[in-house]
Amino acid sequence: MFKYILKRLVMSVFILLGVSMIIYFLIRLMPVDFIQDKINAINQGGATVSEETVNAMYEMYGLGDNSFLGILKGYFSWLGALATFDLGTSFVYGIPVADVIFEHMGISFAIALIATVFEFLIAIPLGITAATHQYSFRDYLVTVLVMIGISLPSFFFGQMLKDVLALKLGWFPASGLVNATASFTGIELLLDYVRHMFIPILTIVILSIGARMRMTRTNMLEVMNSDYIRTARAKGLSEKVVINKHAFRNTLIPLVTSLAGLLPSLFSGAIITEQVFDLPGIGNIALDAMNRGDIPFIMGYNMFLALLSVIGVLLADLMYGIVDPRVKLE
Amino acid sequence: MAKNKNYLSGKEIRAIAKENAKVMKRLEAEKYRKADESEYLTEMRDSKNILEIDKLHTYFFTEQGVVKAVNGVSFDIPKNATVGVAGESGCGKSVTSMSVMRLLQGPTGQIYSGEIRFNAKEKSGEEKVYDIAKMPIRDIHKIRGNQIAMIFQEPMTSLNPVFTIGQQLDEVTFIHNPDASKEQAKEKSIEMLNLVGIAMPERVYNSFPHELSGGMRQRVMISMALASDPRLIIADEPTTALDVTIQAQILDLLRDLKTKIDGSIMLITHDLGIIAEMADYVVVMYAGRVIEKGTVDEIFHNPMHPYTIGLQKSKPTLNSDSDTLFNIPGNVPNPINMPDYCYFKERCAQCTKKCSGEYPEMIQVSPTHFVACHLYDEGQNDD
Amino acid sequence: MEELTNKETVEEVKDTEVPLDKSVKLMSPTRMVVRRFFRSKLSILGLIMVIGLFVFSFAGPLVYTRWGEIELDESGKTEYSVTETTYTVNGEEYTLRQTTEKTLKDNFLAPPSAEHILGTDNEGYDIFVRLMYGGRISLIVSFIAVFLITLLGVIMGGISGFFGGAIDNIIMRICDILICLPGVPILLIISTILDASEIDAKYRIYLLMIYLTFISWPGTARLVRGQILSLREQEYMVAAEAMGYSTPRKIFKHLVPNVMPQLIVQMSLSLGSMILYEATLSYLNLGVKAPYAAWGTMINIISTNQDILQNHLNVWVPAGICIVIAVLGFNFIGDGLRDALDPKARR
Repeated sequence: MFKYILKRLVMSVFILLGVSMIIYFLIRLMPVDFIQDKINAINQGGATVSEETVNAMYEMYGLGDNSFLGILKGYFSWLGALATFDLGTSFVYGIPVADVIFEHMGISFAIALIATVFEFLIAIPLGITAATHQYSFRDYLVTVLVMIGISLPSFFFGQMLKDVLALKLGWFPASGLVNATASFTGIELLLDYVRHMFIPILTIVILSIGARMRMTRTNMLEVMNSDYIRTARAKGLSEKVVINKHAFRNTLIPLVTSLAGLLPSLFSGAIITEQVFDLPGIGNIALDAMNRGDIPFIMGYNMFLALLSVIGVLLADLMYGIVDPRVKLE
Repeated sequence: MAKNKNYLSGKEIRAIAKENAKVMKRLEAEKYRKADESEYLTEMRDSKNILEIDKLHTYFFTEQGVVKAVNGVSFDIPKNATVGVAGESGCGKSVTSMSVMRLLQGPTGQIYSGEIRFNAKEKSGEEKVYDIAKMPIRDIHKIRGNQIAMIFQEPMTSLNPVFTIGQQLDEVTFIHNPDASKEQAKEKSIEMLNLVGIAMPERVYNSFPHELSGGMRQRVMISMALASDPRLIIADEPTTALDVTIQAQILDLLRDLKTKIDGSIMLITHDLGIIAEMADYVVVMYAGRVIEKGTVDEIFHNPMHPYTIGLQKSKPTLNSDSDTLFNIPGNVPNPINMPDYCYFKERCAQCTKKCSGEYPEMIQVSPTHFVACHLYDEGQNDD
Repeated sequence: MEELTNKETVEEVKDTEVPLDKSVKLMSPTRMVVRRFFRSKLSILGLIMVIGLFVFSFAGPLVYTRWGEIELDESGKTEYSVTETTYTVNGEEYTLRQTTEKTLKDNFLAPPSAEHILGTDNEGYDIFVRLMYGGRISLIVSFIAVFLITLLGVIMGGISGFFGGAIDNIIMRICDILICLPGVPILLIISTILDASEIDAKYRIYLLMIYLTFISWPGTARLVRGQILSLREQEYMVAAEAMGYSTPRKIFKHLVPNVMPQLIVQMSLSLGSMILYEATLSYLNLGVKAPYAAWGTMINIISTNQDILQNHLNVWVPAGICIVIAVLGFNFIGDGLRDALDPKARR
């Protein structure tokens, strides 16, 4: 077990190296004067990127030398800085990239966590009903509804909800995280957060239920056709116990595994949803950085995402070994 | 689309689908209906029997047509007897047992008609006769598990992989006796594991199925079937998946158990050797029909149907003087749209003109021996 | 003697009748798949939706030629603005209403009319016509991307499963790396690069989708590789090898029918997700850029203009509906195909 984890960790490091190389080379494909333009624009916009910061970044990224060796040298100097946990300084914010990420991660995490909880709470019962009533009207209805959910573009659906629930009906605020004109404290502040986050979370939940529900349904169908379910029925167990105990426990295996895989992505932020509702989450910040050519931040953010997905794969595997008694990790 | 005479046309396919949907809907509704007990209470024809299967028709409504997997099967299982059901794979023996347990995979698999009368003994000691074929599925718990238990062919996959053996065994006790304490259930489970000859019941109790060998798992399956004190055990090819030495052990076990539980066994197998060893009565099935039935002596010493004779000839024996195994030529016919003549006709070496006529009736040759073959028609003319 | 006569009877009978196991009519495999597919009403609906969109996007502009994709309605528009001023003269209130008439060159944000079926957008382009051209882009782009992804995936997966050993190891590690690449952010970077390189707005989306294929093939590759490996394990493959048949030929002969169904299903499902990708990029103003039309681009305007979001639904809602129809259609088809091609299907 320990050996297995160690082996996987070593492999993860190599994967991350590969990922970082690709991202770094992609970024270096941008012409330097283009970057200079962007920095000038940032400076004109009021924010200040001191000459020193820019120079330090140039140094760190080895920008300017676009020969292959130059890029390679730049990559290693970036890697060297990374080894000391230095992701560089953001052009836009003028503070270390890691700080920017941690500062905005919380809000994204809160939204994603609540949305994921609701997603599982709604999708699993739906998937089970659809499977146990395969080909019935109920199955078709659930399938059609969740398929529509999968097919909705997040920006379109988000804007529609915003238009109807916030602008037309006025039930919820349209954007942002707090009411700027009021200064709430304590429980009122919390309620204000809830009101602001309601539509974004609703959007994410509706869009993501579909995939989870179909996963549950497929697994459940497979389990329901297995020999041990026949045994359970032959024992004289009621259909309810057969489904809720024997079948469900087996369906849970891939679901819990996928949950572990999801854990890291909770931190990565929903770019589009955050953009639509103008939430100061990490995704929205990253989108903004990308538009403004904030290279240190883009690089840091992408590495952060890659790290999360490597951890996700590893966690999912480990979880599999815990939930399924048949699996021994070696 | 390929023009092939043997392929169905689009029109035919639609007609089949329409007809199937109609019948399936009716049968499903019947299956899930709420019914008063009086609707399916009935009387045994012979009170010495524990199970009487009467003209059972079990069909599968596939998109290729109706597969008549069990097509008018009738036989009895007397109290305290072992009845062996023999036949090639695909002859409908397993489907018959699934029909008795009402475990057919809906909505395609349905009992179409016929009666399955079962003599159930309530906890109070009162005897009731149920027609299982007419029972709504919600009442099936009255017999499934506690009156009739089943042992399946695939011990490797028949146990739930995520629960320990103990959890799965205790469950049976709890169904039977919901007030039992955890300790009582465990005690009973360990007792059952002991009964089936498991050496370290405590350890097996706490293991997961994948930690046990196939033979061990089958023992666990048997102990699970026993835990509810059933009146009838259906063993569907209980030894097929196991190797020969284990087979013998499991069979010994089953034989011992019959005397211990004072019940009956319906033993389904394609292996005539097992039947000769275990059974009191034999039912031979072919393509969804019973073609011959009788006591084990009658079937083995005086087989009458050409198919039964062929089956016995094809059994390998050590002291045979021939080097090659006998085999019955041809294949089991596809059970869709069966014509109304003896299904064995084309593989039969003793076929007569009469065989092209309608399907042969069951002919009684002795009080217990029946055969369905035109060779034994009364007033058979000798031309 | 007895037996001999009997055998003759058998021959006689067989001549006149079709043997029992041949008399049974079966369903041809193709017909079975077709039948299973069309039995589901959802697959039929999906097919109608997709075909409808194809006709709308490709035949539409040929039939309805009133406006072009980037043809402004320059019929002009008169905008009235009213200013109210309140004066108090001798304790009495007077309200002065001043109406300013402004004549603008383009007829923008026109409501739906006979002239403009769905009205015009904030620039003065005809929305209905732009929906058609947007559909062309979305459909073409996603078909190209899916085709390329499948091609690359089959080749890489084929090489990997086929040669095994070090080559397999290298390709699979590349897959691991690519799968860990964050999708949307990477596309954002690539889009920024394209911005800098000043490529014609019309072609940048194609380039973008080609980049997308470079990071999206691992899924297909793993599928194909897995299929080849499991084929290698099959006993008949070992038998074929023992008899001296060349393994490569055998593998490819068996691979195609084994992997095709899964590939087809995967392709139709990824067509839906490619359309979503394209729309999202265009919405972020990173894909197809103005003045060219794409469904995503047509929705982009509402992220900055709340007046249109609230009061001019005809500008953005139709594009969103088109995206949903396209994605849903491909998803329905993919789902129907999966059920139809599943050998384990119960009904």
